[in-house]
Amino acid sequence: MRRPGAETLAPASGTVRVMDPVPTDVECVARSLTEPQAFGMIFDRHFHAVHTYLHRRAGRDLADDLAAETFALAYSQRTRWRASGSILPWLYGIATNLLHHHRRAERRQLSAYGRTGADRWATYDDETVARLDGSSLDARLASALAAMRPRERDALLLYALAELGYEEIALALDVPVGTVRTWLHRARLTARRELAGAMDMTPPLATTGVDLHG
Amino acid sequence: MDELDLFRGFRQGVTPPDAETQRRAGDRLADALEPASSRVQVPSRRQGRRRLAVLAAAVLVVVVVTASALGTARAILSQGPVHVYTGTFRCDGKRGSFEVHLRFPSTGTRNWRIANGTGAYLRTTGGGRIPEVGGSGHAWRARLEGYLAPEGARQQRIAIILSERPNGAFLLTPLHKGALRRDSGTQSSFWTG
Repeated sequence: MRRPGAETLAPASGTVRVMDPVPTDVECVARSLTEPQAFGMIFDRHFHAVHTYLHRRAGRDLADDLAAETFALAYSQRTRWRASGSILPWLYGIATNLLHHHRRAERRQLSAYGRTGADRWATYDDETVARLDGSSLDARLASALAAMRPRERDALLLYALAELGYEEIALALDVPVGTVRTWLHRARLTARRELAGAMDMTPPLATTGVDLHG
Repeated sequence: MDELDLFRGFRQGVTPPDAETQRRAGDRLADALEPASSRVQVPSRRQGRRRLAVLAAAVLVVVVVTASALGTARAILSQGPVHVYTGTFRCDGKRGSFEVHLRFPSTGTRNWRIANGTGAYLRTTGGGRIPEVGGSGHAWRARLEGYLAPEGARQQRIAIILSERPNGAFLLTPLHKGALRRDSGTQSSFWTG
């Protein structure tokens, strides 16, 4: 059996109808109902994004395990996806729910990072730059995240790391949009309280390493 | 500036997944795809042609397997008798311990079966094939695939990774939901034959 990651996006030859050479997520999932291998295209397209999201939330080791599990689970539950454009928000939702089994570990990790200022769980492209420019504010952010309730943290990180809108977060977590607004409001209050010192002391984006890492 | 936007820079610049991680995740997904591809569907009128195609494929498989078997028989006769190596791996995990008996004929299918379980593996039966094995000493690794049936529970598809020998580690991963849970620990082995 071919590995899904080795799938190509080339259209099948001999088709009479002219089709878009790159099938959409909806088409891939629909096709996977009769041809399971078609789900490999979803994997090729979104594995990097899901892994990076998990890596930034829970560190490298957990990300390796949970990213793989996310796609296996997504495949087995693909009929539950309410097809609407990109499947990515739904995949983020599965990854987030899987992370819930490890929420104590995630919280311990964030607390330790906030307390010591040393990130022993994530690996960076450039360790030196990450330590010098990212760790100080990052450690405060980690403390703030550790102080939040799990669902508030989920909503915040889907907004900030996965860059989802309110509607997409609601879809990912399978809750009403109003609930997402409430969670984000509470997350904002916690962040304001925990980061009060950091926001006064530093011009935020200049010290988060955006230019350096981006 | 909104406090929430500060978090956009959290852990920015983490390394992307490497090829090995992607390969392992791809294998995990392939495991999930496999049973679905071989799932039997309820036939309908429209599937008449498909059934014919499946029948034709089955006939083709029988022909190929027969030819292959005859070829193997010829190879055995020309190369001498099949030598069978057997190995016993005692695995001590967090949920109990069990013994795995491996059978390695010099030609043909390599397979395994479970024996002598304790804890979660008490009176567990099952076995399967060994699609991947190789290396020596610290670099030795084998992947076992198959089904296990714990006492009083439905059989469950699992994979076991054995690494290093004679003493090393094992990792049992359920590929389907069921009574067995993920487990790992140490293993010690010896060979006969």
